[in-house]
Order: sequence, then structure tokens, then C-alpha cells
Amino acid sequence: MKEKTQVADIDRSMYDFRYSEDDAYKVDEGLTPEIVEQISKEKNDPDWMREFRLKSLEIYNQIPVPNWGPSIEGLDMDHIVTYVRPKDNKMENDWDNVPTDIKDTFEKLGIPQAERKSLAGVGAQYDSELVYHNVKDSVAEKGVVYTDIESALHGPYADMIHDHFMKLVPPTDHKFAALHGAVWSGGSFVYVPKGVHLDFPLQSYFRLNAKGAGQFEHTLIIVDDDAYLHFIEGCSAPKYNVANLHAGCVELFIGKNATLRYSTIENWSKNMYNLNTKRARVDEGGKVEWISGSFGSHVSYLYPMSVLAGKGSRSEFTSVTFAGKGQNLDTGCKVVHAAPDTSSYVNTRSISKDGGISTFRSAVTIAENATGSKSSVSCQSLMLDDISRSDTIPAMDIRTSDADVGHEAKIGRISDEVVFYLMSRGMSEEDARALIVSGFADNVGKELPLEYAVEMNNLIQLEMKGAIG
Amino acid sequence: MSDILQVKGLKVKLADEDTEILHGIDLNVGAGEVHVLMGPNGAGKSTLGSSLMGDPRYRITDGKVIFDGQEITHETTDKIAKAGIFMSFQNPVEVPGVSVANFIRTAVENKTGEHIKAWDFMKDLKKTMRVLDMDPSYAERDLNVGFSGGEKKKAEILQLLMLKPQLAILDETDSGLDVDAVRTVSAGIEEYKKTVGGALLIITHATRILESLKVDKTHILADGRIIAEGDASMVDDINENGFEKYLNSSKS
Amino acid sequence: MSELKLNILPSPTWNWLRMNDTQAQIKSTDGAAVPQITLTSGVSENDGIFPAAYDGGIGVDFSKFLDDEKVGTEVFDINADTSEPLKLSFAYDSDKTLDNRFVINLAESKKATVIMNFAAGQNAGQYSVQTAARIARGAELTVVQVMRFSDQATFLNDIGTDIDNGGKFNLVQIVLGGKNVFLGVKNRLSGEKSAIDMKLGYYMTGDDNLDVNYVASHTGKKTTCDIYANGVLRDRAQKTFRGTIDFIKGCKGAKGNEMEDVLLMDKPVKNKTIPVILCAEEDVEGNHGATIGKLAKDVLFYLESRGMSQEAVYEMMARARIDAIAAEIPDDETRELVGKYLDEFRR
Repeated sequence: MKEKTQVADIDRSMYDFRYSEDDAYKVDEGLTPEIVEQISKEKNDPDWMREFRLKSLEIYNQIPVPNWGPSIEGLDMDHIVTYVRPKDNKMENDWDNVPTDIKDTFEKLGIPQAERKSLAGVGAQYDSELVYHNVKDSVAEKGVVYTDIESALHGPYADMIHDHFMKLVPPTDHKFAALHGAVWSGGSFVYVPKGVHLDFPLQSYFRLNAKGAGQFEHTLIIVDDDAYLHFIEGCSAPKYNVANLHAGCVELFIGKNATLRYSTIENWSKNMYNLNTKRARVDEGGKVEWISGSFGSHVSYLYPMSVLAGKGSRSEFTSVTFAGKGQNLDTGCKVVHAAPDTSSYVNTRSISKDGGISTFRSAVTIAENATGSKSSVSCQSLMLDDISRSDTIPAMDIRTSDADVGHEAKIGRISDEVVFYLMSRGMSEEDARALIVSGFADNVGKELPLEYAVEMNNLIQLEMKGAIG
Repeated sequence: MSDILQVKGLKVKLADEDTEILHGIDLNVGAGEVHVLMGPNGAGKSTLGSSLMGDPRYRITDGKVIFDGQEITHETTDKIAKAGIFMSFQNPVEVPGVSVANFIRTAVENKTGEHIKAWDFMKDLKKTMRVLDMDPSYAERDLNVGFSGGEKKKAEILQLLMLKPQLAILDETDSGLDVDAVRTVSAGIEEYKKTVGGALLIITHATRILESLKVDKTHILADGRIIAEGDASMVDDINENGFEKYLNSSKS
Repeated sequence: MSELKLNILPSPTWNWLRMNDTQAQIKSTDGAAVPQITLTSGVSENDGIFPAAYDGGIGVDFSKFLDDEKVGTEVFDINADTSEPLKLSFAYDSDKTLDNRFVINLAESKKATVIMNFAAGQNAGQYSVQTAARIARGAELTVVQVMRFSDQATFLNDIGTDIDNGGKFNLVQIVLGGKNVFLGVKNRLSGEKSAIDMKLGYYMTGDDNLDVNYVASHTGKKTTCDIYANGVLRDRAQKTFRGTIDFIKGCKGAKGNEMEDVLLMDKPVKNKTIPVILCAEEDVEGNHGATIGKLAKDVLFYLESRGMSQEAVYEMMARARIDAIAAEIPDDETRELVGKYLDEFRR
């Protein structure tokens, strides 16, 4: 028992390498109007964006921290560096031109390999800025746009950004949305035109290298009517002994009869405060599919929200959360049924181990006008020992009788009989338990492209290794 | 004999789609007569039965339904039932929390508008259950909950006998039943003929259930239209030779 | 008049949901109601002091308020198995604010039933009852509470139990109407193998509002809890149901089940449900299920095809739900009270 966490930490080192940031451009620690102005200037913002940032900062200073959920006392905003630009930063679309240490980072994480194999386009962010962005020619020819927000702000899509940026997640939403509005940097802009169906996913990878820094990337995706996109997001960071902060924001606009699948494997290091906001607005007949695996972070607040705004629109949410030693992961989802005949389906699994805390938190709201709507929520939790914790807090607010809502929750442990059965077939107890946990997380595993499912399974094996004393 | 049911030029579409299923049905049933409605799968037989009953899954777009001299085309389901039509369901729904006895008593009281003493009602119910070879314990079970296919069909016939309608539409009442159950259901239908003397419209593609009944008229429905009508001998003919002959003649 | 936080959810969530608690204006007391009490052998009744360590479902604000209002306490000591139930009938007949506190002490290995009937006719007062139940080793207490209110009354019904080794607490609560009805029940399952079984049935119509907070706090080993709520909302009625199963570290072998069915009859009804499982112990089993919605179309059509009007079907289905909970009442007279209320309620 005593050695297990050490083993896990050592194995984690494949994500734990880091490079010097000495040459990088950084703003001072903390948060003042001057720092925000400085970031805005560095990024060559249009005027409206500069004003938006300053307004967001004002809102940030007015909103209190949440009075529910995990403690974020360890996060001292006066010491977070909100903007770190890698040295010689220039966004490249030729991999060979990316600086060597950054290139090495992503090579180790397998990003260029994945691009060659099975992706329609790739973006890679290192600290606060995008370092690489590329879209296959065949995809670009269909009119698909995949770039960083900064470029888009000055290009032909400037109006589109202006009309959508933080409209779904306004800075007033909560404290860290306001923070994001003030200091956001990097991220992706994707536009899929009407009727375009992308057979291969687009991927974005976020890497936070700098110590004591924050990453505040903004992802804005617009999938026009009848189009289809699968977007994959990956994140990781090396471990430091001071707090890092991730307060990204994802806004997804899904047109009539369009579908967007948004997959995330989050593996931030265990000193990360992951206070991320994700939201989708779905028009008539459209669909959003969230696939989410949360493995990293010290503290997470993560509840992707689906606003079912159009008649017959749908949301599916499939997730797994694994809270190990020192982790307090508060995850779940929100669904607002705001139109008739909408449907939502939620299927989540949480695992708690080595003193980890996982909380499943959800809210399903069915508005007065959302007649004929259906919602089904199923959440399961697995406790792997008696020093961990697992809470389930699902809320339902139904404001019409013409609705059909089902909910089920289960919490328990690995059954001794199943372990015994597997061991009787020659498996070690450790392998048996790891196998059972992998199977438990299969709701997400089977929804991911193969290489990601493999990566997720590796993360589970990592966490499980040495678990048996 | 006067007609208890007159269906005139009935056109029916799905409630929320523009698909027309019945394209103008004419069908008359005389009081106390036994009619058989046959036809291949997907012909619209069940749709006809259900839309006569006011099933919200369908909408009547044209034509008329007259029952016992009153037009009931767009009446609500409960009024149609109260007027005297009963339909047995292919798949009766389960109603947890409401016992068979409690339900039938409530339905009979609703129909007649008269209060029945619990003891009198139970005596009558148990007697009828015996005709159907149903265990008396079923009276206290929740309606259709956990019933086998055969038990559900018996519970439907039990309601038929207790509610005493002037016209019974039996939808595939014999499908999926073993020989004994068919015999019991047949006995129930005979009992209905004997004690109530109402008319029957039997929707079926099998014929076992008809063996003990005197059929007055046979209608063949295909692709939303009545394509042939005849007497009882038609049932035997179809039994031996199938629908082919009728289907082909309707096309020429 | 004081603004109090009532029915506080043990684990707060998003404030915008407005489910963390309910804030309400509570009036100062005009005194105690005088219930009609039917004592039974083995039960003694005395004036007494409300336990300071009391922890109820409505929450600390309300207990402190009753302390400050100096509401008197009646103590029932039950030292024998009761052959007949102890009955308390409250017929609130004024628009005043009437508050009562009770302590029920059930001695080791004894079995007792306590039936409390509350009725308020057309009176528009604010009534409250707070009950502390202490269930000794191996004892089994059944409490039945039938609440029959018009759309005028405000009622606060708070229960806190302490259950010793092998003790059992059964609770049947039936709520038939009420302008604002607050039910709070907190059970401290501290004894090994202690158990609770709670059943709630409700039929809320008009502008009625029901606000519930059930908590099962498992500290003892092999403790079990079963919570079942089944109710009907009609017209513009509203309901909030909070149910928490709290597995506290050390409650090895504990099991908790919670099930809620809500039948929504008319479009403007509002239903809030938050079923919580908190867990800090590995060797436990917790389950929760909820089905919330209207009567299925096929069921409605089937029943209408037997000649019942939509209204008659609704009435029958509503009644079936209340009857199912009322069937748990171990007293014919009280069961009939429920039946009679529903008979007379026919529209």
C-alpha cells in the first residue's frame, strides 16, 4: 500500500518532462488593469476586445468565489502569471519550423504522429500561444476554417467572432468566466460550413509548460446547418509544486440538423486548478455529443452545459472521472431544455481512490415551453478504498407536466466475487481490479477513437498500478 | 337488421405525419353480427380498429363513423367507449398501482353512472373469471403488470364481459396464444355473444378463434382499402389459398 | 416574523437552482395546539425539555426559532409494546400560529406505533410540530402522519431521530394539500444494524406547495435506509424533494435506497428533485432512482377506451398512488380518513 502512489507518480513522468521557460516573454504575476492592457497590446486586440477585457476584469473583481464545491484556497491569483508567450513565438503551419524544445514536447505526446494517421487538422498550444496549426488541404477546400482566435479576429471571420465570442458564456456567468474574459489567450476557431461532413476529427492539444502560470485558451466552434464535426481536445502539463491555473472557455454553436461531437481527455498535472467552462447551443434538430475523460488536476470544476434551444435538438453526455491521491474533481453537466421535443441523455462514471474525492454534479432543467421533452440520467460511482470520497448531487427542475424524466444513480465497490472469479482464472488481484475499473470506464472508452481509448486505458492502468497492498 | 356501425369513406393519417394509411374505408356491421376483417401484414387492419376508437396516434382526415345512429367520428375515446364500443388491445399496457378489480369496477361505474356495491361487484367478477379460467387472485393484481401474453388477453376478454358493449372490436386476440388459451378466449367470446348479444368485428390473420363462431361477413383489407367482401366461406378460402387471388384481382 | 432558512440541503450546489434551502417568513407563536390524545397502555405523558442535541430535517434555524419562542415540550415515554397505537389528532381551528414539540422515547426492544393526524379545514394559520424520537436498542417505532389541509394552511413538520443498535424507525407521511407544507426528517443511524423505512405520499392541487428534506445519516455499521416517495401534482402545484443518503466513514456494510415517482398531471405544475448520495466509505451500496413525468399516452388511451374520461383516469391514477402509500398505515381508522378525503375531493 505504501509504495503505490510513488509508483504512480513515477509512471506519470511521461507527462512530467519540462523545458526551461527562461527565454519566454511573461507578464508580471497577479491581475491588474495594467496587466490586462499589456496582454491586450501584446496580442494586438481590436478596440472592442480591449474594452471587453477591461470590463471582464471589473466583473471578476465583483463576483465572489463559489460557496459550494471544492476549496480553491490554494489558488492565489496574486501569484498566477496570466500570460506566457514562448520565445520567438510565431504560429507555424510547418512542423519543421516549430522551436525544437516545443517540438520535442509534442513529439513525446504523440501529436504529429496522430495528425499523420487519422486527423483532419491539428492545433497545438504551448503556454499562452498557439505554436502550430495545420489543416489538411482536402478539408480546407470544403471551406472548413480551423485557426487560432487571434488570427481570426483580424481576418474575414472577424465579424463572426465578434458576434459569438463569450455570448454563450458571458463574463457575468461566474468568477472564472470573468477572469477568462479578461486574460484569454490562444485557443481555436473552427467554422464548418453548411452541409459539410468531416469524416476525420480535428484536434487541439494544450500544453502548459511554465511554472505558476495560467492557461486561458478560448475555443469557439460554429458548425453550420446539416454539418458534422468531431473535435478532440487533449491537455497536459508537467507537475510543479506551485499552483497552476486553467480557466479555458469552450463555446459551441450547432446549427439546424448539425452534429458536433466534442471529445476531451484531460490529464493536467496534479497541481492544476482546472476551472473550465464549456457550453453548447443547439438549434432545431441538431445534436451535441460530449465525451469526457477527467484524470488530471488537483481541483476541477467542470460541467459542460447544453442549451437545447431548437425544437427536437438533442444532447448526449458521456463521461468518466478518476480522482486519485490529492485530487478533488467536481464534474458533471448541465442541460437546459428550452424548446419542445428536446432530449438529453447523460451517462457518467466516477472512480475514487487513494483519498481522492470525486463529485458528480448535474442540473437538468425543463422549461415551461419544452413540452414533449425527455431526459435520462444515469450515474455510477465506484469507491476503491475507504479513505476516498464520492458524492452524487443531481438536480432536476421540471416546469411542465409534458415531460418524461428518468434518473438513476448507483454507488458501490468492486465486488469480491468478481475479483475472486477473475483470480480463479489466473489473474493477479491487481490485474483483476484494474480490468474491472477499465470495464467500468468503458462507457467513454468505446466512444473514443482507438488511439485515445488506448491512451485513456493507459491512464487508468497507471492509476491502478500498485493499488493492492 | 339495422346497422350498429357505419363507416363511410374513412381516410386516416398518422397524427404527426402526412402519411395516409387508410384511403377511404366503407364498412357496415349490423347489430349482433359477427364480422371478420382480414388482410396481409401492414394492410391497416389495426389502424382501422384503433382509429374507430379515437387513438391519438392517428387522425381521421375524411369520412364518417356512425355508431348506433350517432356520429362519433371525432369523439374522444372515453365517449366512444361509453357509447358502447370496446376494443381489445394487441398489447394491453401495464397499469401499476391499479388492481384489475378496482379498475373494472371504476370503469363499469363510469359507464353506467351508478354505484355498485363492492360485494355484488366482486361476486359478478369472480363468476366471470371462472368462465375464463382465471385464478381469482388476478382480481387483486395490478392491471396487466407482469401478466403473460395469454393472461393479458384473458384480462381483455374479462373487461369485455364486464363492460357489456354493443360492439366489440377484437384486435389479433388469438395471436401468440397456445391452444388452451385460444379455447378459453373463444369461450369468453361465446359467452359475450350469449349474454350480451353484441356485434363483433374480429381483426385477425389467423382463423382458430373463428372456428366456434358463426361468421356473418368477411372483409379483406389490403394497402388501406377494402378489396373484397364475402360470407363465412371466404375465411376458409383464404385459409387454404391465401390472399393472392384477392390482391391480384384488385389490381386488374 | 422571522426569515428562516428551511430544509437545508446537506451538500449545497449551484445557487441559481434555488434548491439549497427554502427561505420563508415564519410567524411568532400564539401558543400550542391542543391535540386530542388517545393514550395506550405502557405510554406515559409528561411535560419535559426538548433535547439540546436535537438535529432535525428542517434545520438549525427552525430549532433555534422554536427555542427562542419557548415552545413547550410534551414527552411520551413508551416502556411496553403497544397493542393499540398512541394517537394524536390535531384539528387546527383558528388562523393563529400554533406550535408543538414532542419527544418520543421508546424503550429497549419495545414496539410501538404513533399516529398523528393533522387537519386544518379552511383555516389559514401557521402550524408546526417538531418531534424528537429516540429509539433504544432493538426497539421499533412506527410513526404515521396524515396531513389534510386546504389551500390556506402553512405547516411545518420536523422530525429528528436517534436510533440505537438494531433499532428501527418506520415513517409514513401522507400530505393531502396545503398552501405551504414543509417536511423535514433527519435520521441519525448511529447504532449498528439500525434501520429506517420512510414512505411519502402526496397529492397537491391548486397552488399548493410541498417542500421536503429527508436525510439519512449513516454512521453505524450495517445500517440500512429505504426512502420511497410517490406523489401527484395537479393544476399549478409545486414540489421540491431533497433526499440525502449520507454514508459517513466507518458505516461499513451500510445500504441505502431511494426511489421517487412523480406523476405530473397538468402543464403548469413545477417539480424539483435532488436526490443526493454522499459517500465516504467503500463497503456500502447506494441506489437512487426517479421517474418524473406525465401519464403515458398509451396508458391514457387504453383507460379511456374503457369509457373513462381523462379526468376520471387522472383521479384513479392519483388515488392509486396515495392508496399504495396508505396501505402501509397499520390502523383502519386512519386509512379510512385518507380514503374519505380522496372521495370527497372528487371534482
